[in-house]
Amino acid sequence: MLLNGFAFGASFLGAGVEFVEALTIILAVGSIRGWKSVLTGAAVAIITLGVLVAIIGVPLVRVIHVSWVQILVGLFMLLFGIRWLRKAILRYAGLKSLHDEAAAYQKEVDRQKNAGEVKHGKIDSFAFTTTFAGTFLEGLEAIFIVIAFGLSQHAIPSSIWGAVAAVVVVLILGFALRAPLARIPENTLKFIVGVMLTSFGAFWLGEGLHVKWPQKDLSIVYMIVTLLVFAWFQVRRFRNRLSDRQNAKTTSTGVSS
Amino acid sequence: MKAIKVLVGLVFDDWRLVTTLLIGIIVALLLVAAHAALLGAIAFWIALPVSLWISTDAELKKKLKS
Repeated sequence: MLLNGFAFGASFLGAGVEFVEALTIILAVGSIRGWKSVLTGAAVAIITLGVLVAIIGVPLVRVIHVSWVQILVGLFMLLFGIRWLRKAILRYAGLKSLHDEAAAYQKEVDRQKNAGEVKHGKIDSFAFTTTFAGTFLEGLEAIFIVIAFGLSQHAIPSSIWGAVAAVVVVLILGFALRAPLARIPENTLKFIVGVMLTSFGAFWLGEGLHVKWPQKDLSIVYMIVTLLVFAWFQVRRFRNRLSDRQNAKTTSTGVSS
Repeated sequence: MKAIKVLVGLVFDDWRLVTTLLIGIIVALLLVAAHAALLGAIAFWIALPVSLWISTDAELKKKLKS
Protein backbone atom coordinates (compact mmCIF):
# COMPACT_ATOMS: atom_id res chain seq x y z
CA MET A 1 0.00 0.00 0.00
CA LEU A 2 1.43 3.35 -1.05
CA LEU A 3 1.07 6.31 1.28
CA ASN A 4 -0.21 9.62 0.01
CA GLY A 5 2.54 11.99 1.15
CA PHE A 6 0.38 15.09 1.32
CA ALA A 7 -2.43 13.44 3.32
CA PHE A 8 0.11 11.82 5.66
CA GLY A 9 2.14 15.02 6.23
CA ALA A 10 -0.84 17.35 6.58
CA SER A 11 -2.57 14.99 8.98
CA PHE A 12 0.67 14.49 10.96
CA LEU A 13 1.15 18.23 11.40
CA GLY A 14 -2.51 19.19 11.89
CA ALA A 15 -3.36 16.37 14.30
CA GLY A 16 0.07 16.77 15.94
CA VAL A 17 -0.75 20.35 16.97
CA GLU A 18 -4.00 19.14 18.56
CA PHE A 19 -2.20 16.29 20.37
CA VAL A 20 0.46 18.66 21.71
CA GLU A 21 -2.31 20.88 23.10
CA ALA A 22 -3.96 17.88 24.78
CA LEU A 23 -0.57 16.77 26.13
CA THR A 24 0.01 20.24 27.62
CA ILE A 25 -3.24 20.01 29.60
CA ILE A 26 -2.47 16.42 30.71
CA LEU A 27 1.07 17.28 31.84
CA ALA A 28 0.02 20.51 33.57
CA VAL A 29 -2.87 19.01 35.54
CA GLY A 30 -1.09 15.70 36.15
CA SER A 31 1.93 17.43 37.68
CA ILE A 32 -0.13 18.97 40.46
CA ARG A 33 -3.12 16.65 40.85
CA GLY A 34 -1.51 13.24 40.29
CA TRP A 35 -1.36 11.02 37.23
CA LYS A 36 -4.00 8.42 37.97
CA SER A 37 -7.12 10.61 37.53
CA VAL A 38 -5.49 12.53 34.67
CA LEU A 39 -4.61 9.42 32.68
CA THR A 40 -8.03 7.92 33.42
CA GLY A 41 -9.71 11.11 32.11
CA ALA A 42 -7.59 11.03 28.94
CA ALA A 43 -8.19 7.29 28.43
CA VAL A 44 -11.98 7.62 28.85
CA ALA A 45 -11.97 10.51 26.34
CA ILE A 46 -10.00 8.43 23.80
CA ILE A 47 -12.33 5.42 24.29
CA THR A 48 -15.42 7.68 23.91
CA LEU A 49 -14.02 9.11 20.69
CA GLY A 50 -13.14 5.63 19.44
CA VAL A 51 -16.68 4.41 20.08
CA LEU A 52 -18.14 7.50 18.34
CA VAL A 53 -15.92 6.95 15.29
CA ALA A 54 -16.73 3.23 15.22
CA ILE A 55 -20.49 3.84 15.42
CA ILE A 56 -20.86 6.98 13.29
CA GLY A 57 -17.74 6.88 11.08
CA VAL A 58 -16.99 9.69 8.64
CA PRO A 59 -20.43 11.42 9.04
CA LEU A 60 -19.24 12.31 12.58
CA VAL A 61 -18.15 15.66 11.09
CA ARG A 62 -21.81 16.51 10.41
CA VAL A 63 -23.29 14.96 13.57
CA ILE A 64 -21.22 16.71 16.26
CA HIS A 65 -21.07 20.50 16.28
CA VAL A 66 -17.55 21.17 17.47
CA SER A 67 -18.46 24.77 18.39
CA TRP A 68 -20.68 23.62 21.26
CA VAL A 69 -17.97 21.34 22.63
CA GLN A 70 -15.48 24.21 22.36
CA ILE A 71 -17.81 26.60 24.23
CA LEU A 72 -18.50 24.13 27.05
CA VAL A 73 -14.90 22.99 27.51
CA GLY A 74 -13.49 26.49 26.98
CA LEU A 75 -15.77 28.10 29.56
CA PHE A 76 -15.01 25.39 32.10
CA MET A 77 -11.25 25.68 31.68
CA LEU A 78 -11.24 29.46 31.51
CA LEU A 79 -13.16 29.85 34.78
CA PHE A 80 -11.02 27.30 36.63
CA GLY A 81 -7.76 28.59 35.16
CA ILE A 82 -8.37 32.26 35.83
CA ARG A 83 -9.35 31.48 39.41
CA TRP A 84 -6.04 29.68 39.95
CA LEU A 85 -4.12 32.44 38.25
CA ARG A 86 -5.77 35.11 40.41
CA LYS A 87 -4.85 33.16 43.57
CA ALA A 88 -1.30 32.68 42.29
CA ILE A 89 -0.85 36.42 41.66
CA LEU A 90 -2.15 37.24 45.16
CA ARG A 91 0.12 34.57 46.65
CA TYR A 92 3.28 35.82 44.92
CA ALA A 93 2.41 39.44 45.70
CA GLY A 94 2.23 38.63 49.40
CA LEU A 95 -1.53 39.12 49.78
CA LYS A 96 -1.90 35.40 50.49
CA SER A 97 0.72 33.55 52.45
CA LEU A 98 2.95 31.27 50.37
CA HIS A 99 3.95 29.31 53.46
CA ASP A 100 0.37 28.72 54.59
CA GLU A 101 -0.61 27.64 51.10
CA ALA A 102 2.27 25.19 51.03
CA ALA A 103 1.29 23.85 54.43
CA ALA A 104 -2.35 23.60 53.37
CA TYR A 105 -1.31 21.81 50.20
CA GLN A 106 0.83 19.35 52.16
CA LYS A 107 -2.04 18.77 54.57
CA GLU A 108 -4.35 18.08 51.64
CA VAL A 109 -1.81 15.73 50.03
CA ASP A 110 -1.46 13.86 53.35
CA ARG A 111 -5.24 13.72 53.70
CA GLN A 112 -5.62 12.39 50.19
CA LYS A 113 -2.83 9.84 50.74
CA ASN A 114 -4.52 8.60 53.90
CA ALA A 115 -7.93 8.59 52.24
CA GLY A 116 -6.38 6.80 49.27
CA GLU A 117 -5.30 3.94 51.47
CA VAL A 118 -8.87 3.49 52.66
CA LYS A 119 -10.71 4.32 49.46
CA HIS A 120 -8.40 2.81 46.89
CA GLY A 121 -9.23 3.90 43.37
CA LYS A 122 -10.85 7.24 44.23
CA ILE A 123 -10.82 9.65 41.30
CA ASP A 124 -10.01 13.38 41.57
CA SER A 125 -13.06 14.85 39.82
CA PHE A 126 -11.31 18.10 38.80
CA ALA A 127 -8.30 16.33 37.26
CA PHE A 128 -10.54 13.77 35.55
CA THR A 129 -13.00 16.32 34.12
CA THR A 130 -10.30 18.73 32.93
CA THR A 131 -8.28 16.10 31.09
CA PHE A 132 -11.35 14.29 29.78
CA ALA A 133 -12.72 17.56 28.35
CA GLY A 134 -9.35 18.68 26.94
CA THR A 135 -8.50 15.32 25.39
CA PHE A 136 -12.02 14.85 24.00
CA LEU A 137 -12.03 18.27 22.33
CA GLU A 138 -8.51 17.98 20.90
CA GLY A 139 -9.14 14.39 19.83
CA LEU A 140 -12.35 15.42 18.10
CA GLU A 141 -10.53 18.22 16.25
CA ALA A 142 -7.78 15.76 15.26
CA ILE A 143 -10.41 13.33 13.90
CA PHE A 144 -11.97 16.16 11.87
CA ILE A 145 -8.52 17.03 10.47
CA VAL A 146 -7.83 13.39 9.55
CA ILE A 147 -11.23 13.08 7.83
CA ALA A 148 -10.85 16.42 6.02
CA PHE A 149 -7.37 15.68 4.60
CA GLY A 150 -8.26 12.03 3.96
CA LEU A 151 -11.40 12.90 1.98
CA SER A 152 -9.81 15.78 0.04
CA GLN A 153 -6.93 13.53 -1.12
CA HIS A 154 -9.06 10.36 -1.39
CA ALA A 155 -6.52 8.81 1.01
CA ILE A 156 -8.14 8.17 4.37
CA PRO A 157 -5.58 5.41 5.36
CA SER A 158 -2.61 7.76 4.72
CA SER A 159 -4.30 10.48 6.73
CA ILE A 160 -4.91 8.03 9.62
CA TRP A 161 -1.25 6.90 9.53
CA GLY A 162 -0.18 10.55 9.72
CA ALA A 163 -2.22 11.00 12.89
CA VAL A 164 -0.89 7.72 14.35
CA ALA A 165 2.68 8.91 13.74
CA ALA A 166 1.82 12.19 15.48
CA VAL A 167 0.45 10.27 18.49
CA VAL A 168 3.71 8.30 18.78
CA VAL A 169 5.87 11.47 18.61
CA VAL A 170 3.69 13.31 21.16
CA LEU A 171 3.71 10.31 23.55
CA ILE A 172 7.53 10.22 23.44
CA LEU A 173 7.55 13.98 24.12
CA GLY A 174 5.20 13.47 27.07
CA PHE A 175 7.40 10.84 28.70
CA ALA A 176 10.48 13.02 28.19
CA LEU A 177 8.85 16.07 29.80
CA ARG A 178 7.28 14.30 32.79
CA ALA A 179 10.47 14.09 34.87
CA PRO A 180 11.62 17.74 34.45
CA LEU A 181 8.10 18.95 35.35
CA ALA A 182 8.21 17.04 38.65
CA ARG A 183 11.16 19.18 39.77
CA ILE A 184 9.30 22.53 39.48
CA PRO A 185 8.18 23.91 42.90
CA GLU A 186 4.49 23.45 43.74
CA ASN A 187 3.53 27.15 43.84
CA THR A 188 5.29 27.89 40.55
CA LEU A 189 3.61 24.90 38.93
CA LYS A 190 0.17 26.07 40.07
CA PHE A 191 0.94 29.49 38.62
CA ILE A 192 1.95 27.97 35.26
CA VAL A 193 -1.12 25.70 35.20
CA GLY A 194 -3.36 28.74 35.89
CA VAL A 195 -1.82 30.51 32.89
CA MET A 196 -2.14 27.40 30.70
CA LEU A 197 -5.77 26.62 31.55
CA THR A 198 -6.78 30.28 31.16
CA SER A 199 -5.10 30.54 27.75
CA PHE A 200 -6.43 27.24 26.39
CA GLY A 201 -9.91 27.93 27.84
CA ALA A 202 -10.03 31.41 26.29
CA PHE A 203 -8.82 30.06 22.95
CA TRP A 204 -11.42 27.30 22.77
CA LEU A 205 -14.25 29.50 24.00
CA GLY A 206 -13.26 32.10 21.40
CA GLU A 207 -13.16 29.43 18.68
CA GLY A 208 -16.64 28.29 19.72
CA LEU A 209 -17.89 31.87 19.54
CA HIS A 210 -16.30 32.20 16.06
CA VAL A 211 -13.82 34.96 16.87
CA LYS A 212 -10.88 35.02 14.45
CA TRP A 213 -7.71 34.36 16.43
CA PRO A 214 -4.67 35.93 14.76
CA GLN A 215 -2.41 33.12 13.45
CA LYS A 216 -4.87 30.49 14.77
CA ASP A 217 -3.42 28.13 17.44
CA LEU A 218 -0.34 30.35 17.86
CA SER A 219 -2.68 32.75 19.68
CA ILE A 220 -2.49 30.39 22.67
CA VAL A 221 1.23 31.19 22.94
CA TYR A 222 0.50 34.94 22.65
CA MET A 223 -2.09 34.66 25.43
CA ILE A 224 0.34 32.73 27.64
CA VAL A 225 2.99 35.44 27.14
CA THR A 226 0.44 38.23 27.78
CA LEU A 227 -0.72 36.63 31.03
CA LEU A 228 2.83 35.91 32.23
CA VAL A 229 3.94 39.50 31.58
CA PHE A 230 0.78 40.88 33.20
CA ALA A 231 1.16 38.64 36.27
CA TRP A 232 4.83 39.60 36.67
CA PHE A 233 3.93 43.31 36.40
CA GLN A 234 1.03 43.01 38.86
CA VAL A 235 3.09 41.06 41.43
CA ARG A 236 5.86 43.67 41.30
CA ARG A 237 3.39 46.54 41.62
CA PHE A 238 1.64 44.91 44.58
CA ARG A 239 4.93 44.14 46.33
CA ASN A 240 6.02 47.77 45.93
CA ARG A 241 2.70 49.08 47.29
CA LEU A 242 2.84 46.75 50.30
CA SER A 243 6.48 47.61 50.94
CA ASP A 244 5.72 51.39 50.76
CA ARG A 245 2.92 50.88 53.24
CA GLN A 246 5.23 48.94 55.57
CA ASN A 247 7.88 51.68 55.34
CA ALA A 248 5.28 54.38 56.08
CA LYS A 249 4.12 52.43 59.14
CA THR A 250 7.68 51.97 60.40
CA THR A 251 8.44 55.68 59.92
CA SER A 252 5.25 56.81 61.70
CA THR A 253 5.96 54.39 64.59
CA GLY A 254 9.51 55.76 64.83
CA VAL A 255 8.31 59.40 64.88
CA SER A 256 5.59 58.79 67.51
CA SER A 257 7.98 56.90 69.84
CA MET B 1 -21.40 18.28 41.14
CA LYS B 2 -18.18 19.51 42.76
CA ALA B 3 -17.29 21.34 39.54
CA ILE B 4 -20.68 23.12 39.51
CA LYS B 5 -20.25 24.11 43.17
CA VAL B 6 -16.81 25.57 42.44
CA LEU B 7 -18.13 27.49 39.42
CA VAL B 8 -21.07 28.92 41.39
CA GLY B 9 -18.72 29.76 44.28
CA LEU B 10 -16.42 31.57 41.86
CA VAL B 11 -19.27 33.75 40.58
CA PHE B 12 -20.27 34.80 44.09
CA ASP B 13 -16.78 34.97 45.65
CA ASP B 14 -15.28 37.03 42.91
CA TRP B 15 -18.02 38.69 40.95
CA ARG B 16 -15.68 41.36 39.56
CA LEU B 17 -13.59 38.79 37.73
CA VAL B 18 -16.59 36.96 36.28
CA THR B 19 -18.48 40.16 35.36
CA THR B 20 -15.50 41.65 33.51
CA LEU B 21 -14.91 38.38 31.67
CA LEU B 22 -18.59 38.24 30.75
CA ILE B 23 -18.46 41.80 29.39
CA GLY B 24 -15.40 40.80 27.33
CA ILE B 25 -17.27 37.79 25.93
CA ILE B 26 -20.37 39.89 25.08
CA VAL B 27 -18.23 42.54 23.34
CA ALA B 28 -16.45 39.77 21.39
CA LEU B 29 -19.81 38.27 20.37
CA LEU B 30 -21.13 41.66 19.23
CA LEU B 31 -17.99 42.23 17.16
CA VAL B 32 -18.33 38.77 15.60
CA ALA B 33 -21.95 39.59 14.75
CA ALA B 34 -20.74 42.86 13.18
CA HIS B 35 -18.34 40.84 10.94
CA ALA B 36 -15.31 42.01 12.91
CA ALA B 37 -14.22 38.59 14.22
CA LEU B 38 -10.56 39.62 14.52
CA LEU B 39 -11.51 42.59 16.73
CA GLY B 40 -13.70 40.16 18.69
CA ALA B 41 -10.64 38.01 19.39
CA ILE B 42 -8.63 41.04 20.46
CA ALA B 43 -11.45 42.23 22.77
CA PHE B 44 -11.62 38.79 24.37
CA TRP B 45 -7.85 38.66 24.68
CA ILE B 46 -7.75 42.06 26.43
CA ALA B 47 -10.57 41.01 28.79
CA LEU B 48 -8.29 38.38 30.39
CA PRO B 49 -5.67 40.68 31.97
CA VAL B 50 -8.26 43.44 32.56
CA SER B 51 -10.53 41.13 34.58
CA LEU B 52 -7.53 39.89 36.59
CA TRP B 53 -6.38 43.47 37.09
CA ILE B 54 -9.75 44.62 38.49
CA SER B 55 -10.15 41.55 40.68
CA THR B 56 -6.64 41.51 42.19
CA ASP B 57 -6.60 45.30 42.66
CA ALA B 58 -9.77 44.99 44.75
CA GLU B 59 -7.90 42.53 46.99
CA LEU B 60 -4.96 44.92 47.32
CA LYS B 61 -7.27 47.78 48.31
CA LYS B 62 -8.89 45.55 50.97
CA LYS B 63 -5.45 44.70 52.34
CA LEU B 64 -4.28 48.33 52.37
CA LYS B 65 -7.44 49.44 54.20
CA SER B 66 -7.10 46.78 56.89
